[in-house]
Amino acid sequence: MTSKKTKKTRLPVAMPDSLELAGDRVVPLQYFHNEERHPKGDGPWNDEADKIGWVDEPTGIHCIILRERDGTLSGFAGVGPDHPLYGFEADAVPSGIGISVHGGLNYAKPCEANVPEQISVCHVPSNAELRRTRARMGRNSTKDEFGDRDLWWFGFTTDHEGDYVPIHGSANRFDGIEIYRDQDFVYREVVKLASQLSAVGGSSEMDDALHIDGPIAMLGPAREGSDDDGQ
Amino acid sequence: MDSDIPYEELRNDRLPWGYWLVADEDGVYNKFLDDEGKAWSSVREALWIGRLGMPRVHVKDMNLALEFLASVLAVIDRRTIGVEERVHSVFAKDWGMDRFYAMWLIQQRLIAPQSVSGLTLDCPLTPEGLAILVMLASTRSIKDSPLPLGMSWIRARRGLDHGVDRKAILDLVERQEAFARRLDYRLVRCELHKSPAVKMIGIDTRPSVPRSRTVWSMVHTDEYARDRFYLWAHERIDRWEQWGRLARDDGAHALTSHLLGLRFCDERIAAG
Repeated sequence: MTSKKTKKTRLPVAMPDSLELAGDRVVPLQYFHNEERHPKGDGPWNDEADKIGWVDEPTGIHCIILRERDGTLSGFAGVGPDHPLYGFEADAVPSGIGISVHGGLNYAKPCEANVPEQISVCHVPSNAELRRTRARMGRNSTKDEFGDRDLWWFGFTTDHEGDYVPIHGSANRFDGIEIYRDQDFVYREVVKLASQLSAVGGSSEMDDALHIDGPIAMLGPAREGSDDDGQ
Repeated sequence: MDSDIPYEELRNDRLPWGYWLVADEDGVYNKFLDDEGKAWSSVREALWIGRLGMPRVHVKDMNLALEFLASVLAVIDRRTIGVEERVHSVFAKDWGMDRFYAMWLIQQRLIAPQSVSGLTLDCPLTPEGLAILVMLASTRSIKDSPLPLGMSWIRARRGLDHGVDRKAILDLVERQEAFARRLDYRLVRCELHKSPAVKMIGIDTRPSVPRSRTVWSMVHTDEYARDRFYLWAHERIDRWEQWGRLARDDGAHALTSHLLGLRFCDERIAAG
């Protein structure tokens, strides 16, 4: 799918004080334009940024929308070491605990501390942290120096069947209609992911007594003959 | 060793295989002398070449083969898993390899066939087979993480109550849990989204800072179901690291599929 708009591509260059995403007012903490990744030509991506980082207010979870090399947008939400899913590989997150995003979770990694901030999936500092760090490092620094906040990031992509991938242009990858998953769409999915992650409670490891008051014979009986093997 | 005289009549079969080797303080590389005067660099090499008649190979290859031998002997020794599960898990579903390995162990007199038709790994270990298992279990490298080989599960199940001794099982699980903390991958119980769960955790050393990773998990309907699964897995603790690597390399679904396969390998189908 492509837009018929003919106006020239207008790219955001400075970090705005606030953004409207899918009807929500969001205060961005990271805001980048990346010419290398921004789709060429006119389209619904014209006014979109290529990376937005913010803290989801209702949950306090750090969130990122990031442009991929193929021009699509991906969404990410980071949880801290106390979260029960911290350190989980994407496919190890069990179904049935309420985590459901566009195309399914397919990203789970620690903060990319050594990747340039404009393309990294890494910690978004809070306003207070930003002020403290800027005071320490100088006002012009935008470098993400928050590696000590060790977040574990979950994410999803929008390059699945039915998703429009800008780098492929008009070449239809699949039969049927392809839809460009725009900034608002990805924002809604990221906020949904943050809400789902926030709702997951639990413990990382438990050492309370085993529940074996039930039919212990079901624990996996030894094979016949194992009791008289003379060992 | 004289091939006609049973091992237990020549040696003390309560001691690990190779206990008779003596240190050769003059040896630079070959530090152990057997009672024929042959020198070996390790007890394992004495077994590999001197006893089993295998070729001299790189020490890594030798140890790989001996670790596999130890695992097979341990599985036979425990005798808690069924034949199909053994083939599925230990021999990667290769029935031919299972039978071939059984015949090789019989020829080496490490397992004792009960009848001509019973040339399978269901045969018990001979005294020498058990002595070799003890030696191999005692001489594992740090990397190979010595696993609790032996009859622990069987012993926990013995007695008048046929092993329904909860205290014995709880004690055993506690000991195994302490041991499992040294493994590269281990299963732990946890709670996820108010549901009882089990997850496989391991240390990922790929990034510069090693960190704990969860490579697999499963939620259960209640604590009893979760703990039955957990104990079932504890019976197979010698394979936890293999399971962890499977999930790490092939994904969590690969381990789920593997465990499901194991669970139903030896399930009997009720007739009628």
